[in-house]
Amino acid sequence: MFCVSSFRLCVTTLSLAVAICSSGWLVAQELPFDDSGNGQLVVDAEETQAQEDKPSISDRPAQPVRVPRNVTRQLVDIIVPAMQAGDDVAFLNAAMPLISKIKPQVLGALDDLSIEHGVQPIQSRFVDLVLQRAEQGDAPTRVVSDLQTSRIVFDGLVSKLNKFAESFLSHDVMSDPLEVPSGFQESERLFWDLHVLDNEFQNVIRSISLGQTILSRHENTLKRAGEWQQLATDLTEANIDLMVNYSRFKERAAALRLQRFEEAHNVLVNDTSAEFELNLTSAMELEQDASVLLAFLQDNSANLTIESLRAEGLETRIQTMLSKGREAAGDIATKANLFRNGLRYWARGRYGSGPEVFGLVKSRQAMNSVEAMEALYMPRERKLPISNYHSEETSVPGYDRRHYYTWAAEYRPIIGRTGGTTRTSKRSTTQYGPTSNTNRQQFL
Amino acid sequence: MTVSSREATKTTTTTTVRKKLAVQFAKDDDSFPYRLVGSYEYGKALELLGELAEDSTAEQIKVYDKLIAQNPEFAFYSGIASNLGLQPNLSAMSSGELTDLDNNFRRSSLAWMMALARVELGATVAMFGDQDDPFGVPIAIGGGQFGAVEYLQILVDDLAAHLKAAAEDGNYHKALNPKLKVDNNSLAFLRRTQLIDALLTKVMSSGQSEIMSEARPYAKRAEDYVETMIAKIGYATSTYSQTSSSTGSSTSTESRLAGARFVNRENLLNYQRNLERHFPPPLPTESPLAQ
Repeated sequence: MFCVSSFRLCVTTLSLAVAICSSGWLVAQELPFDDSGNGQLVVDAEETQAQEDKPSISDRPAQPVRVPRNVTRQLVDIIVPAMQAGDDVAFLNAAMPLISKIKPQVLGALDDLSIEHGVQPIQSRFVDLVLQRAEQGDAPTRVVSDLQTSRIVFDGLVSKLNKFAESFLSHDVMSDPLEVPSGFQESERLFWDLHVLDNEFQNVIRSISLGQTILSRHENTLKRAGEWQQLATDLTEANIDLMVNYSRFKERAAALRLQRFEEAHNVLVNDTSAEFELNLTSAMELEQDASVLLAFLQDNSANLTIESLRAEGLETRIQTMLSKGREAAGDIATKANLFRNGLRYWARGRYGSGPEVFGLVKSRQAMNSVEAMEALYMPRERKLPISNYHSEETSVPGYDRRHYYTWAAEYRPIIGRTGGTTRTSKRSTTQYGPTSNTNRQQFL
Repeated sequence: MTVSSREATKTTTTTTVRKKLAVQFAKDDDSFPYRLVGSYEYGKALELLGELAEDSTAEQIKVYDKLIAQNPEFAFYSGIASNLGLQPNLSAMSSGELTDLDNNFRRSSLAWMMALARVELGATVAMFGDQDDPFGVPIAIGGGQFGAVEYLQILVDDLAAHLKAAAEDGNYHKALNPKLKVDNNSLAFLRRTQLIDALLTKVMSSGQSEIMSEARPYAKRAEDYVETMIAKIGYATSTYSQTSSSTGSSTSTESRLAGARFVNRENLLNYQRNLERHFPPPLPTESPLAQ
């Protein structure tokens, strides 16, 4: 499980994916596409002649759409395996030429074929991946340069916005009465869920810029086709709905947090019989909630609708309650802070992934800023620990210990070999100074 | 080890022995061990949890353990070497129930969390640093002797796991080929050798008779492994030690081949503090798993 050969296997897989990506043009060349950009499928001469001999479409009954053999081969040999292996890069590189060039009805037939092979429909998967990358500000540029692809992605975006709005409105946080569940664990779960939802909001908001880019890029073409106005209206309305809902969500989440903050303060200041555990959890809640609430009020003091958040001088009151709560907690406040942050860093070390070497390594930028050092991909769901005796799909991380793998991560390329057997000895006295680039050896 | 921490002048005797091939590797990247996910995180966790453990009573630590046990994400499993090769328990998977084996090796407490953080950080120092006692560095960062027994137990577990994995690694046997060409693989294998050596040294010098007797079955195998690797592929060090001598490092032994980077406790803490001074990290605003 944690041997060099396994590691090498992963490297080979990655290399293969990279090779497929880099040879994307080869894949495209093999397809019967018209490269003029009009989205027409090019068929070979024999096939064209055969079609000309047939009656016109209006004379014939509707025929099922025929997917060209080489397109089917592309789907079966490359796209389906890429989806099954979760190789998103290979999938995107293989699917993008298809999405951009072949006719919509053929794409529909490809979707059906994908389902027959037990994978997600190709268009739907493509849109999901593009939108995921848009959320990270990294949508493939070819998506917006090609009109057909842009249409598909745009439709997918609007559909996603609408679905998100529906699911959000049915979330518990949007229903009255607003009440924090009793108990530290239960309330922590609630605020974790709200934190995840907040991230989803931010992701969706980021993906809207892709829609705006698409509209801007194809404005003239879409206007000529009489479509631009409707599309722009759809996007704008979805955007406004989203922002309004996000504001409501943040306000309701803040109101919940204010409830918990007041309860924690009450325990620390007024409940003299509270035991260490209750004081500790209350102190943890007090610090966390005060921090979030003060940040919220600083950014969102205007247009609040919930009574408890509109109270005069709320920020000052929170700061006063925080001070009193800390004072009442005494050294428990310090312990709560150490405990909470210690667990947080431990969880990040255990579950975090960086962008390099299969998630084991952070980018070089991490050496220049705390933001980059702290930025890690974290699992969205709370996970179960991995066990060799007992496996769950949600078990993470995918390794028992990081160092079972990091020992094998050797990246230094060999840049030269010299031959011959020589033996030399040299004795020297060196004056050392601060290490600098100039006195380090070029090669290790 | 940093140059500045050494004496101002140093006499270095360098003997270069080039055998069939001498290999030049591209320049090393000093930032690599710091960029490993976990170096910074586990270092910070040890600082904070270590201070907490030292300042808390036994009763208070029981409360921490209770809160930790309520969150499955803070648990992990040990006994890895003993269960390597076993298939997952399919009936348990389908029923969703934990097995006895799971329960026996499930670790979930402040001491165990610190043990895991320590072994991960100590392994990084062992692999990429040149400390005499790399697995002592995490103890010095925080917590002192709190959780020392759990830490030693996990070290034994890791020693056994590395030995078992190495024995089953096809590339290890290839590496023993006398016609082996030195390549990146050699560096990686010597890094693992360095790690196994450090694990063995730490466990066998612990003075804990129970732990030492638990580790004894692995000790001979670990010594054999280290000796074999050095004898077979250690000649790569000749070129390596020549180049490293001018950086001020006295690295000349095979076990230092892979590293000689600048990981030690002082530098790790300085590194964290420097970052924080220039870029104060925001207070965590969500639950411990946030972001």
